[in-house]
Parts: sequence; structure tokens; C-alpha cells
Amino acid sequence: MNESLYTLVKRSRTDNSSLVSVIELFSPKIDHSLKQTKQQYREDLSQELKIKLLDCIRNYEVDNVPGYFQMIDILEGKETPYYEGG
Amino acid sequence: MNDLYNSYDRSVANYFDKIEKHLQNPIIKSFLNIPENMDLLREVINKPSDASKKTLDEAFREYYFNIRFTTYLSQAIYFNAINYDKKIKLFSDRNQSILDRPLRGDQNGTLIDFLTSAEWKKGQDVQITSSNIGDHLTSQILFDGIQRLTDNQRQLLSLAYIYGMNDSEISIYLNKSQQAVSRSHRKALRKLREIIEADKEGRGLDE
Repeated sequence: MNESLYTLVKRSRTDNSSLVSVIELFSPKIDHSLKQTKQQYREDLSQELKIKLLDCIRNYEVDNVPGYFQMIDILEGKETPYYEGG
Repeated sequence: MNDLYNSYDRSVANYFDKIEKHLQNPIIKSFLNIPENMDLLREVINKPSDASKKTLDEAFREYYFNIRFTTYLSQAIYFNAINYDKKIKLFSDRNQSILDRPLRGDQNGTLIDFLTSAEWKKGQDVQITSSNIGDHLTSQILFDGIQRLTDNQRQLLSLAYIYGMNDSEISIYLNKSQQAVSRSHRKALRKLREIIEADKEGRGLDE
């Protein structure tokens, strides 16, 4: 895994293998959250979560993340963050 | 050379004075704690150019993105896992005869274990063929409640719950309109519920 999460997510809109890589990156977190449910539902839950992640990753607006100068502007109060509550 | 270096540092210090309050911002703070990022910022302050600004901007964007995105996905996983559990619980509450559902209380095993056990088989030879719903009930309250319904309602419940007919089938069988059957079906169930609840309350007061 040489590529950063950033480039992977950016590309995952059009590239399915990047999408898979991102989900694999998060699979330890998924496995961890499976522990809270009963053994018999774990496989289902795992699948369910991966489907949810597909949506989350595909619909994530990478360009909405502010750059450095934009961030300083936001902190100065010159620019209102439009991502609040999302 | 030394002078030059000092003037570099001074302008960086000036810059930090200017944005002092933002240095406490956890994102900015941790971003600048990484030496490479600090170098990028120095470069921008000392030799401002579009290219260097852009590099810093991108580095920050990527850094911030990693944090935001990871948090976002982690939370999405966490909350969806909880919701899934709730959904399962709701489903199994509404669909009681799931064969691999663990039995209630302190009994071990699942429903299917119980059904295949000898315990269950012993009582299995009793087959009730009566078409009167009262003969099929094992609950005393429900039996008493059924006796207080009208003959029509009893017949309707028998058709619905012994023969498994739906309201429109019953309406054809009884030669009534489906709406009338549905209405009296609902009314019968409501009345039974009232009787059961009144009984529960009555017992609650006695204890």
C-alpha cells in the first residue's frame, strides 16, 4: 500500500480497485465493531457496513477539505465553514 | 550566512505572532509539529511563490483530509453497527419463531434445539382439530376474553387464526364485504387487548 488515503479516495469515484483498497484500509475498524453483535450476525453486519462505506467514500467531497490558507481564513472568521454538521 | 538565517527565523516568528491564537487549534498545531510541514511553511514565508504556497496548501489539505475522513468513516462504521443491532433486535422481537434465536431467560440453546429435543416431542401427539378458536388456546386470560366476544367475532378469529385465512378470503366465505370483515377483525383484537390489559392491571393491584 504505497498510495495515500487521499489519492485513493480521490480516485475511488471512478476507480473501483481504489475503492476496494480504501475499504480494506478500514477493515480492522469494521472487524472491531463486529464484536458488539452476536456471532451469527457478524458476517451480515460486515457486509452491511461495507455497503455503507461504499456510499460514504463515493460521496465524500474531497475538495471540500480546506487547504492551509483557507483554514487560516476560516479560523480568522473570514470564511464560514460550509461543511459544518455534515 | 548566519545573518540570513536569523532573518529567516525572524520573519517566521513574526508570522507566528500574527497567527498566534490559531496555533492552539489542534489541527494547525499538530500539522506544524511535523518537521516537513514546518519546512514548507518556512519556505512560503521566506520565498513566497505560487508553487510553494500550493505545496503547503496541498500538504495541509491531505493532512486534514486524513483526519477528517478517518473520523468520518470510523463514526459511520460505529453508528451503523449500532443501528444494525437495533434493527436485528426489532426484527427478532417481531418475528418470534426464528429457529437459531437463543431462548429467553436462563435456558441454554436455541429455539431449534428445543424443538428437536425429546421434551417437545412428548407433547406433540396432541392434535386439536376443533374449529372453535377457544379449544386452541392455552392462555386462560385469552380464553376468558374470547368468551366475551360476539359469535361473529369468534367465528372470524377462528377462520383467521386456525385456518389462516386473510380478511378478503373470510369476506368471500362469509359473504360479507372485505371492509366489514377487516373492521370487525380489528375490533375483536382491540377488545381482546383491552381485556388482557385490564386483567394485567387488576392483577397488578392485587399484588
